[in-house]
Amino acid sequence: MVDKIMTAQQAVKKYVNNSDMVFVGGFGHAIPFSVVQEIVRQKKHGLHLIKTGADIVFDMLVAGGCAQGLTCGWYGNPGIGMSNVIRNAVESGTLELTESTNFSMMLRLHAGKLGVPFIPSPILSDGDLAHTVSEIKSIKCPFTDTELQAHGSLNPDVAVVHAQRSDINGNVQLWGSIGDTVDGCEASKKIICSVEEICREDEISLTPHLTKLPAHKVVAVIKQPFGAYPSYLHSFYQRDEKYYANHSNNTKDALKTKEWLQSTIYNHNDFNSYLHSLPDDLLKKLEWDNS
Amino acid sequence: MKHKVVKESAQKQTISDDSISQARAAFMASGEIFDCKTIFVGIGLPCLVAHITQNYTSPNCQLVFESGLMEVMCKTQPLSTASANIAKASKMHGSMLDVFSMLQRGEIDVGLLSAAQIDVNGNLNSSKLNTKSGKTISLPGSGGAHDISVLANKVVVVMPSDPRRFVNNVDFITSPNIPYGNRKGVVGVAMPDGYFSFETGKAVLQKIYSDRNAEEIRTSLNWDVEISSTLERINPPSNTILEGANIFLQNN
Repeated sequence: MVDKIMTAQQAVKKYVNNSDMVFVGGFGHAIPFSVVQEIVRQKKHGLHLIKTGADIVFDMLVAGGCAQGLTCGWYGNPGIGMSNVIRNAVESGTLELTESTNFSMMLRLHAGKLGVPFIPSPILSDGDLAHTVSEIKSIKCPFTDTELQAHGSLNPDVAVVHAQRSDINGNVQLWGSIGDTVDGCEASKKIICSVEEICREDEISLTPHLTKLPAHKVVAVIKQPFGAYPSYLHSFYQRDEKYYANHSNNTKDALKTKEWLQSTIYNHNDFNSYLHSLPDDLLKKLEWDNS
Repeated sequence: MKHKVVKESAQKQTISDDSISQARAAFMASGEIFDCKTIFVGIGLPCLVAHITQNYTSPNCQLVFESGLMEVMCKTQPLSTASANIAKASKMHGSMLDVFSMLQRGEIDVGLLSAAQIDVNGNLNSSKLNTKSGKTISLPGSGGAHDISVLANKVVVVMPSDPRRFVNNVDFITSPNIPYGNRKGVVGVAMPDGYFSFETGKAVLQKIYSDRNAEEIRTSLNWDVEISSTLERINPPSNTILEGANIFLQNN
């Protein structure tokens, strides 16, 4: 057993380097807000972010000046609309955006996971989007002569994720909607994971089928209750719908965005301080309801 | 203007025009997929199509969402394809790769999509819009839309009634209507008044609700398409369906 327990400050300082390619886990569920906040707080910069569908946590990284590039299939506030932060950053030339599709991003991460240079697929053969995506090249199938597109592999330097629980060694258990998290983590060179609970090794052994991230790649385990807030975590808490609904207004211009970063990140030394700044009964109201 | 519908249980619901409009578009789309067993559901109006299909027209259909959720009961409107309400009403939590692989293997009978724009050839735009002043407005992007449009065995699009969204040529082709192999691509687009088929390659007004007029639909959309010589007239959704749709939309 190796004890990988550390704080988010220690993990980000040690394992996230400027200019790294970073995969951010959580697709609408279990989004690692606490670790991302720490990346912004430490003012990491030059990062190239990798994602299928980029949720509002990416606004933090872009507004915080951490990101130089973003390659994704989608970006915005799910079910609500466009990301003002990312749109402005692209228009002002501070962010290089490469738009793709969610399946292409999955194929590229899966190729990285498999350790092969590409995966062939018929998608992105035609249309304006196909012509703007890089890292995709036409190939002929050696068996059928059919034309396919080779989707080039991705191996991010580090994956940042949140999950339900882990032991101190980094046997991370994750359940609920999986999205792109497992492929993204296995494609990455190392994994930083925050969890709600640290449990004993023998407890993990009772439910090994729930262990989704391999311990040998996990370099840091951070105990952070509500670490995915304001997104939701299956069996633990609901999404803060109000937060998401207010997000467009909170980031509608540069001044509002600055205030948002200040009140959610820079005013606090760590994520617990931020959680304490929330209205008293807010987190209690988000308690998980199985119905 | 509010439209009142009386429920059998004598409870009264006030249903907005917008809710009725969405239900009519979704019900029209639902009529095109009653024989489909596996349905890949996009976010927005497609979720209402899935709800109506599952509850009223094809109870044995299996719903799949791009987040990896499978065998979903779509009881309340989800905001994203991974929302807790559908995650809790799902029988299997797979990965995104699992469900897109099902698509690529040809196991998805129909993909349900919406888009910012659709053109007379069935091409879809979810990426950017050109304004009259020459500016380009970015949109959130493809997500899985391109993938679904290429890989589903067929695709039914569902759109609100808005002439800015029915165009001769989309501003940007996110999802080209060039299907792969024996896939059929975009077979039609449903909207609150009727259904346009792409069976001949170009959009043709094929079905209208019995309380609508074909020429008026074409004029209101300002869409330069033919009216089919075999135009079909469809009864509008029942009050039960309008009420069910209204509850579904309110639960958001």
